Amino acid sequence: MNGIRLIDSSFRNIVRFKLRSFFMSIGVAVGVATLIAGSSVGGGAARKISAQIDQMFGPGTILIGSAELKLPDLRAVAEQMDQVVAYAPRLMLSEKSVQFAGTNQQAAISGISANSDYVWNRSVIDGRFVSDRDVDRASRVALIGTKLKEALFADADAIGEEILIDAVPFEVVGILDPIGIDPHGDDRDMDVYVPISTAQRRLVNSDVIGNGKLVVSNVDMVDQDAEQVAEILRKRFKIAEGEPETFRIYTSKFAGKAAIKAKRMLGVYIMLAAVVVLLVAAVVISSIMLVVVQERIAEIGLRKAVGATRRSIAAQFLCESTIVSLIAGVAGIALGLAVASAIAHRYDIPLNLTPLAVTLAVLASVLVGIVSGIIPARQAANLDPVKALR
Amino acid sequence: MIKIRNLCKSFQRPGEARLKVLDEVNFTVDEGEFVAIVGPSGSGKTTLMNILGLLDRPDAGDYELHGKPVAKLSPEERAKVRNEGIGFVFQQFHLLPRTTATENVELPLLYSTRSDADIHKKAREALCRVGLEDRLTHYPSELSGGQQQRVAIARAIVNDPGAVLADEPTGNLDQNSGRQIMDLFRELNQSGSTILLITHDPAVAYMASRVVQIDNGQLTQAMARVAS
Repeated sequence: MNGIRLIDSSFRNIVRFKLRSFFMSIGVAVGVATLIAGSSVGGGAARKISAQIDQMFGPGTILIGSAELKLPDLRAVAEQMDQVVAYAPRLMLSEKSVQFAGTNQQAAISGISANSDYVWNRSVIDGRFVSDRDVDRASRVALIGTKLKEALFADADAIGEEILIDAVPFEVVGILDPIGIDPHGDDRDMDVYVPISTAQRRLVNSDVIGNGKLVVSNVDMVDQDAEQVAEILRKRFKIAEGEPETFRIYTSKFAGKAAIKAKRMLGVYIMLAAVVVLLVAAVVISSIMLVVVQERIAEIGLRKAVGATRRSIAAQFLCESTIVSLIAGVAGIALGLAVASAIAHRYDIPLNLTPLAVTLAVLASVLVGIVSGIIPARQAANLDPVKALR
Repeated sequence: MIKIRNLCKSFQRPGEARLKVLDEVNFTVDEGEFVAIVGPSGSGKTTLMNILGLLDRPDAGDYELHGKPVAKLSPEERAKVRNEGIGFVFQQFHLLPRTTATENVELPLLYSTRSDADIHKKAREALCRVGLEDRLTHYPSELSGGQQQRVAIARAIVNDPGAVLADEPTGNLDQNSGRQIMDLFRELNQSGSTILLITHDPAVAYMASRVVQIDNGQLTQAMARVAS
């Protein structure tokens, strides 16, 4: 039988036995859907995490976190290290109630300084940023995220309006850049930024800042610079040699490496899951095809009697399992995309479907079809026509 | 057309003595003959038919079909001979279910190198020859037993094989349909086909121009008659 007749007769059989074809397809469709959904969501998530890490760190930065860290510590570090070109504190407070005209929202409050837009890589899309004057005077001004703005003000203008944070009145002066959900799962568009001095005096009454960020001049030296920061802090916090540090330091280099590692791990898990499902799918197709061969013994005998060679009988069954698997693979790509776009929509992740993933999915389904067809095809080809026709 | 010499075939079942089904059989069918092989069940007639149809191989002996020795052909070569030189008709019809009459008849041609148009044309012609020109797109389940056997006969002659082998072709049919099938075989024979059929029914065998008896693995000429 020539190729076109083979494909034609395979399609007829697939259509003739719809339910059977459906059951044969499920495994491959699910496996391919796993691969496609996993890689497009995973790829998108990885890209988003990388973007967030870039946003959080930027090139050549050092992040300090400590329950003891105060503004003079940060200033001392910056003054002792010439390579520090900028620094800014960040005081992160627990969620507080934010009110406007009877509408109440819980929001994370951060205390920042005037150069935080540069150092922490987040500016405003509307209004103005916090100024040095605001910080000096501990002004009651606030920057709010786009989602919080929408929750409190809807379409109305928020700039110049007065909101209550923990019952303290603040004037909204700017709307923060939208950056979405961070790797911790917090919606950063619900943030409220206030001058750090205001946060310390009016909201927590403490001079601890908790977090600080340094920008260094040479991106490649960031790890060595971090050592020096640690040295200065150990001295200032009077931590003896060998005692555990009461601060943590992260560099942009470290974060980048972690992101790459996370991305790789995610890829490995998705591949592993897809391979397991596809293996199961191959077993399913194979066993159904074996039953089909048993069911069609008379047909095989007849085909042999009218001139089918072993090869053309084998080709018929191989072709059938491969086409079923390929159709299932295409359906799986569609299913995977549907699932991926649902997840992407729900969790606000960009969809990242690569041609590589699609090619891989198609190849995998063809491979599953061929592999699962081998044993049934061989069994059919080896049937003795005399016995088959009895 | 068909010439066999000293053909032997035996079967060995575990725990039983070796059973000689065909023992030094010599047999010739000339072109254009209509031969019936009769014998009780277990006499080896189906085994003989399977060997003549190249579905089975003899243990020993020579077989010449259309003037060529075929006993020692490879499986691929035998498939080609079955496709081009032999047409089969079975007791159970062996039509593919959920497949139209035309598609069933086309089956042998699918394993040839003919074009699709040629295949359709030949299948239609074969169905016309067996009187089923108004049943081309019917499924086997929509046809009577006699009609199904006609489709099977059309399938057997579609590739102009020269020799048609029929194994109890009337065995699953009522008397009337059986007669019609036998009439069809005679018509085909008169228009040139060589026909070899096996049956246990003397009334069916009587329709052939020559009857051969098989018993205990031996062939004996039973009678010869000229088709009326």
